[in-house]
Amino acid sequence: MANHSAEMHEHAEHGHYDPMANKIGMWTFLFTEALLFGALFIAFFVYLSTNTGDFLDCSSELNRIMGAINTVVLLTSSLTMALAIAALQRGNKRLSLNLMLMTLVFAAVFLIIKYFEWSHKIHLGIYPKSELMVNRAQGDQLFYGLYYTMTGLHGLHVAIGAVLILIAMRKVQTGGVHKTKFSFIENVGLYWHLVDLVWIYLFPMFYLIGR
Amino acid sequence: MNTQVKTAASSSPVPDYIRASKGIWSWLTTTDHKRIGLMYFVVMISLFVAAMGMAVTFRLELFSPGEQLFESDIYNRLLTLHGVVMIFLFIIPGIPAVFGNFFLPIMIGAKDVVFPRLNLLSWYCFVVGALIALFSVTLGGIDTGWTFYVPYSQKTDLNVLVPILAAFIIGWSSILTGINFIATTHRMRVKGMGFFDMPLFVWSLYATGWIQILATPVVGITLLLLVFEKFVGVAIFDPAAGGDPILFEHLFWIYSHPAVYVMILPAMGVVSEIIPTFARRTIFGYKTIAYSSIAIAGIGSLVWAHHMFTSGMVDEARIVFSFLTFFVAVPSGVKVFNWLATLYKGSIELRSPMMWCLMFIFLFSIGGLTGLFNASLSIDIHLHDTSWVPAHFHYTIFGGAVVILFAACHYWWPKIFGRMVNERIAIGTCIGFFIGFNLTYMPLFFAGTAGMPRRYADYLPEYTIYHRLSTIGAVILATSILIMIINLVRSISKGKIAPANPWQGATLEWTVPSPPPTLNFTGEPDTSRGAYEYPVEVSDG
Amino acid sequence: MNSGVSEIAREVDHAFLLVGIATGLMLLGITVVMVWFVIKYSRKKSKRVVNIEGHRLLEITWIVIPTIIVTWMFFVAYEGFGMMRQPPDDAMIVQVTGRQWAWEFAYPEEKITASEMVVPVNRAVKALITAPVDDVLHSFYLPDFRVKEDAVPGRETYLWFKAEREGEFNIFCAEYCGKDHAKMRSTLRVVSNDAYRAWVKGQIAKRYKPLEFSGFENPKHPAFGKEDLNIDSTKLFGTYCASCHGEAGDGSGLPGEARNFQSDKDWKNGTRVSDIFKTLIDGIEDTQMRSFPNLTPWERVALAHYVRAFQTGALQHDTQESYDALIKEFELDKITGPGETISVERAMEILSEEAAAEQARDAEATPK
Repeated sequence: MANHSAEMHEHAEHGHYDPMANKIGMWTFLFTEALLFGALFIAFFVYLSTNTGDFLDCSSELNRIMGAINTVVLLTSSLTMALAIAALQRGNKRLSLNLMLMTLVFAAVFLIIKYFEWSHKIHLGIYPKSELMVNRAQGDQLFYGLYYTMTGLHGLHVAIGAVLILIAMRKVQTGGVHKTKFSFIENVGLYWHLVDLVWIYLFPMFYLIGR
Repeated sequence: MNTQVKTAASSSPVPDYIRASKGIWSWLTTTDHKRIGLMYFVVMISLFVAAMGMAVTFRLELFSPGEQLFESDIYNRLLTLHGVVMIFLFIIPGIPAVFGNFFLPIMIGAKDVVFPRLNLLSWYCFVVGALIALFSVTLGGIDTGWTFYVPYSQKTDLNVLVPILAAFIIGWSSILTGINFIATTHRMRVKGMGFFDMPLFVWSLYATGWIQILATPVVGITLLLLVFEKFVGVAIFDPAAGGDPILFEHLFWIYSHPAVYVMILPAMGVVSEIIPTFARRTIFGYKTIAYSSIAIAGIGSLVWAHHMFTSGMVDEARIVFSFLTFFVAVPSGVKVFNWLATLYKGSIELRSPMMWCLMFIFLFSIGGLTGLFNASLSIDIHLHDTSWVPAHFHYTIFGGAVVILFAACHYWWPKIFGRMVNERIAIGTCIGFFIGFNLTYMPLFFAGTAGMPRRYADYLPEYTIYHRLSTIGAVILATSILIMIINLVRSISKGKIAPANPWQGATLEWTVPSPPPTLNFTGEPDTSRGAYEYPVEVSDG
Repeated sequence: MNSGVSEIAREVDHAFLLVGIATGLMLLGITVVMVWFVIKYSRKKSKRVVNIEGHRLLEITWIVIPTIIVTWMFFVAYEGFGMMRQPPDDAMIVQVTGRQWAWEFAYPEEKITASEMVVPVNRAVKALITAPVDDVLHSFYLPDFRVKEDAVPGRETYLWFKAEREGEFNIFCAEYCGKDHAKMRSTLRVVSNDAYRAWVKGQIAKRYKPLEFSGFENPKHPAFGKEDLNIDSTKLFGTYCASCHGEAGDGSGLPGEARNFQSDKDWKNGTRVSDIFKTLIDGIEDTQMRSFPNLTPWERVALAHYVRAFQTGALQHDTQESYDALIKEFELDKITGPGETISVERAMEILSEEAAAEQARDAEATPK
């Protein structure tokens, strides 16, 4: 009895492995994330409806090609991430690691392109409270306010996702995550898809509504 | 049907969770849900006493018109801090963080929550948030009111970044706890316990968890936007840049209205535990109560803009939100009727937890029914932002959630600490509380209908009588609460040793020793008895 | 409660009464049943319990009946709301502006502004409510009339009422707006039609002297003599200042560029009379504020007081030291006071000097 209890103790102290619970936890967390962006979407559409003209003009100022490239990059990265999980489930550790590395590279490409977009705009003097900005139309100020906030927050999520993928790679390497215990990498994958999904909305909202 | 299968802690071979390991470090690194619950309690009750002190202080200032103790800017800061601490640091974590943590796993026959380490992380988020909030006081506090409305929060000279950061971090604590409870309820139930076999407290925690994860991120991002705007200069709400302050109000209340159900739902769950125990009979309409929790969570998420009937929002929206708001009263009313029906043909014992519960039904009914005035469009135009609103709010949340937190303290204290609370003093403080409470808040309803605006550091002489009564009431109220807390704390060392099941309760936590061992159950949980199964013949246990 | 001050107030009170009776009965019912059960089924008397698990019909009843009651309540209260949101077309317009921490009432037709609200009895009044974009939220609240509406910066909201009897009523700010929120009060005076017309007339007369002093009141300093200086500072302000700083001194003539005299923040040269006096001589570098050398020292003194008064709403004298410094620096005591009359000879002299100066200017302007 005492022995059994000690075993149970051990069990509880370290938490037990329940992939279903992990999945429920992750999905509920993703709800939170979706609502976090949801509030921003509400703000965007409210202001789009009150400042339609300004928003369309500003949208045309964004670089659609860069936005489109980034969309393709993120979509592809989602694919490589999904393949990495599938590979691990089939026991192909090496392939899984390589695919995750590719995902990381795509994440980096995305952030670099984003960096160029931002720095170009800032170079032009389009940034919050800049002299140029405060003299532009109110809708323009709101558009760029939301642009920087939302793509910034999304960029932050990409960075966090990349760190999580790094951790997942480490865990796969050391054997903490493997063929039969893959909850962690699966959840990282879910997170990465969310990041991708958010961008799929951000891209048309900011880049494509213009003339 | 013998509920005292397991005997008290002393004869148990396994040490209880308090004595399982020693030293402050063993507490700070614990993943035991019971210890985490207790740690929440210690932090929260200290903050509660502090915020209560602030309230008494500004009530003393309001004893007479004009300036008595301090100027209006001090008043505004006390008022804000009282609100922020009470809401974000006390009542939102409230019952779920303390009693939910402690009893949710036991009630479903589990050894712990499904993510114990995440649970500890939630506690640290909470404590760090609380410390940051206290730190902000040393920077001069804030004077925005707990709602942080723009543009004032953008214009005030005081530091809003720090308290908002605190609220943001505490929000994470809330979200993580919600996730943990939902996953625990789904995955950790003892074999054979279906959703409709769960105690109603678990149901209410489950519904609360959903509100927490769905609403908290919205206020999180809203506060973040406020910070971006103020410190980075991003144009979002600033009217000078075309921004819309009313949008902030919407985003704020999309969270903060459901948040009041985060406060009250768990309390309703506790009532559904205590009343059957002391009426010694099964709960009336189990499914109705369970579904009404879900209904409150659902409808409650669609009524936020009733805080904004005079905000300048379009008339159509006001009409829709007024209409929807009325229907959130129905499931709350249904619960009250079911509790009353549970008293019918029971065998009622008026012990202190039951006294608190009956007081809750009375006070919460007043709170809920006065809410109907606020839901009524034309009446609310008059009552909005008058002292009627704080009166209504305190009747629902203080007279509702906090009263039940106190009830829960008296109900579960023997289980948590293994000691009985002095019953005489407990009932005395309960009566003192009732008198003080009504004297504090009832006059504010009348002041409100007479047009006394809220958040006023000073008032016209015609409102003096209401404020006088309210201040006297506040002193009685605070005194009763302090005596109650002393009585509770004193019992930890001085109280009589508690048996495993002092109240003859039927839920699983009463089948384990008082206090429970670290892993809750020494064997398999005894599920032979339903959560509300009581014998027809009453024996005095 | 001053019931019956307006139709809306009566309607709201009526709804309040109905909802009050309904909720009161419910509270009474709940409490009575609770106490009754607790006594009847107390442990002492009741040793056998009946484990009733539910009763479908009963439960459906207490879901359906409250639903009907609250739906009824919605319509009870909706009626008054409909009334509130439909001001009559012939309503008189008053523009209400809330700023930290005062109310301002503008009557666009009469072109007057006031710090209290005066309206004629039995006349519908529509208040258009706003706040300046750099201000915060306020709420315009008339408790006796049961109406309120927020003042949102940069937006216009409205409410309306028709006072049915004369009297003085409270105006409160109901939306928290900072330090002096509790002091942001004003008065609504409902007066007879005649009294209203008289008030408007008085306000129009004051319009050219909208500040609380007429002309320029003597600061009672030895250097200024004992008589009032007979200078119309309002007219001077209208001529020299209003085009940029706005008639109300709020900088609205040249938005964003001209100083807002109503704010006490960031005055480059200070806000004392002597400071403003200097500014009127020198102007302010790198801004569009030019110098006004053609003003007489007395006109400058009068204008400086006038400008200063925008912050307080009334004439405010400077400290004695400030006046002393001013008099010393500009040797005002050596200049003839404007209150004195001048001799005919001196007048002729001035006129001929001016004529000569004009001729000289003309000569210069003619190309050579």
